Amino acid sequence: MRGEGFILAAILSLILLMTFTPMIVNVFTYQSPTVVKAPLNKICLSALDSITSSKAIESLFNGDDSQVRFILSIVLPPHVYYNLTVYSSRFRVTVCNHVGFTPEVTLNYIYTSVDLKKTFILTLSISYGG
Amino acid sequence: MRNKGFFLILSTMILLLSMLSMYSAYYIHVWSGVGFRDMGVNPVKIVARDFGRALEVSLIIASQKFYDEFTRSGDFDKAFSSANMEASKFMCQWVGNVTYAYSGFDLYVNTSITLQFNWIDAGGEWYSMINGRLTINASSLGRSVADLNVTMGLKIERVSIFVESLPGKKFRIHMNVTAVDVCRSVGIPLDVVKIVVDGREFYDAESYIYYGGGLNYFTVLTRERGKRVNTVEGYFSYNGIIVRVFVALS
Repeated sequence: MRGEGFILAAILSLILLMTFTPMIVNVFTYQSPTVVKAPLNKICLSALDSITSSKAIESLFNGDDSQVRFILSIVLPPHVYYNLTVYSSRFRVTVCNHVGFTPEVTLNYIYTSVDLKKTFILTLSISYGG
Repeated sequence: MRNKGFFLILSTMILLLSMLSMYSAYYIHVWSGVGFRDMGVNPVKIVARDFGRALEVSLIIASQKFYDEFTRSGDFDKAFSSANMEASKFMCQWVGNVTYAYSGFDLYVNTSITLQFNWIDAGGEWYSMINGRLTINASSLGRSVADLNVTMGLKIERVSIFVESLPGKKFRIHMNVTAVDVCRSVGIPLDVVKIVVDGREFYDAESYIYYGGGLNYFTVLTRERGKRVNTVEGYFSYNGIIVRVFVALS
């Protein structure tokens, strides 16, 4: 009977340990709400959606990157570094606000411009910085 | 008693193993970052959204090629073959771009297109249409993740022509053309590419009014050698997609 009691106690201890370990980890890795970071993947996708739905790629193809920069400055949170590369056959342009950062998230996006009759691959890399 | 203890230890081990596997599966899922659907980024959605645009561009390219070949040679089959080749070439390039952009996701993308140009048969409907099918298989998931079937294009549902005789052997041709966007099923305004009256080409209309609901009204002023107008051919476009209508008045 004593042996069974020990086993039951061991099981209970293990269950308690496994339940509370994530909580303890969360307590030690807690960040104040002011510095909680939004998921970068969704921000990255949202930025690319905004760029492609506003004909900014068409402007970029014609040599004007101001629209792309404007959209990225609005959609991305402050202190985010970005590097956007847009390429197609015989065309490649990079727009960035910081050189040489290590990206936390990189996302590829396919976009076909009906006006230009071309397909572009957009690669946006972003990272919190500053 | 010994059997009871053995059973207890066995059930404990099974319970522990199952809990450990659930626990580790959860952490592997959280930290590995391979579950693209839970990361808020689904490449299948991005590709499916772009498929409509790619299809539209391939129809624009095909209809322009068809227009060039058809007006130059008048050979429907030859023009169709060239147009089909151009559209297929564009879609192949698009698939190549998709495969390159999402190579890390093990996606297998297949497309097939069917072009339809009803430019000759004067049965009351003229159209330039494309039907495209997109299938995406994800080898990592071991199944099809997308199967889309899209039809788009430009259709002329009704054409009515009235020829007004003017002094000095002139004619004013009044055309009412009802056009529909096939994909959205809404009426659309048209641009004139070319209007041919008994072989004479006009690259712009004398006047144009769009009444809404797809009803376009054009007039063309022409001086004909004969006493009457026999045939009117109209090449119209919407967002770069060209369609031809042909009306024999005699």
